[in-house]
Amino acid sequence: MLRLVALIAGLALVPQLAQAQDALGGAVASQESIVTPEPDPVDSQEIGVLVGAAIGGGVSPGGLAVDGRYLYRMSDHDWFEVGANFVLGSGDAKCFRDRQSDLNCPHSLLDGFSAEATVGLRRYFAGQQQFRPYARAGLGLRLLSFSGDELRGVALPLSAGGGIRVDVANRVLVVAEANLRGGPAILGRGLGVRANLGLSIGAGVEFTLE
Amino acid sequence: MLRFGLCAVLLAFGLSCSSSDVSRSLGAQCESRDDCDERCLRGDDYPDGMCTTSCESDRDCPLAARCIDEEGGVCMYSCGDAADCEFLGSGWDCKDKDAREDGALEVEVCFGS
Repeated sequence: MLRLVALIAGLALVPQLAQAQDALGGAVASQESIVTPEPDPVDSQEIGVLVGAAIGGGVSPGGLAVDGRYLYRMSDHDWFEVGANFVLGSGDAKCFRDRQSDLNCPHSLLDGFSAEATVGLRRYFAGQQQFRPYARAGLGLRLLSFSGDELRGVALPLSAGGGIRVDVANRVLVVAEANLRGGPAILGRGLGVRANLGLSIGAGVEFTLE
Repeated sequence: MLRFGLCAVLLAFGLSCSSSDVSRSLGAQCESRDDCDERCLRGDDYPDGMCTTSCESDRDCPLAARCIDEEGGVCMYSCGDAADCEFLGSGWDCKDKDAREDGALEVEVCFGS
């Protein structure tokens, strides 16, 4: 008799236990959705173009600088950058052989041509209203050419700099940026390994992708 | 020491740090006109070649040069003795040449020996 009562009581409690389990599971699921939100796909990619000036000198090209880039958001503050950069300067011949037959190439600050592919990281800092400053660093592979001197080379520059971006409209950002670049370059005509250094400043626009 | 420091900075930027004042316009070695801004003088009178510019008077030349009546008027480094021309390499000497502007006037310039 006692066994029969216990069985009936157990059967009567089953629906209540199931309800309690459902409620608990729902609460846990709700909590998980708050802790790990789905990434917002709207703001996770950007493309941009900057125009400015690059200052070179010696065997480092300088001139008009045009920079195209793609950015992918990795976290709230950090973005991955891939870019292509072109510097268009004068093609005048400047190299000469001194009296010891050593080649000298005293190019001016705005001579030469370069094409560079870069990868890097950008980190944003806290800003005010629509202004957000950032720092960036990257590594590039740079082709160099001084056409007037038939001088060509390859450089592996590191770049570092910073800038500020301003939200001006829906999905449109205005950017101003400055970068220092430096690294080894291998040049032809017997010049060998030389330092490739430069400073670039520019401004442009970036677009948030759908 | 200051000069050494300056040279180190210039070399870091890939710039020239030549001790002489040669350039594409005057003094650089050359094999053809492409090696110079304007003219390349070749031959025994110009060992290893000499970049220079045409001139009618000293005013057309850099401060360190005189305009002589050779090759239709060219700038050449002025000198006081042979030692002043040693930076150009072997085969150069300090010689008297007619000035371009006043043929009666002789000036001392570096020239092939």
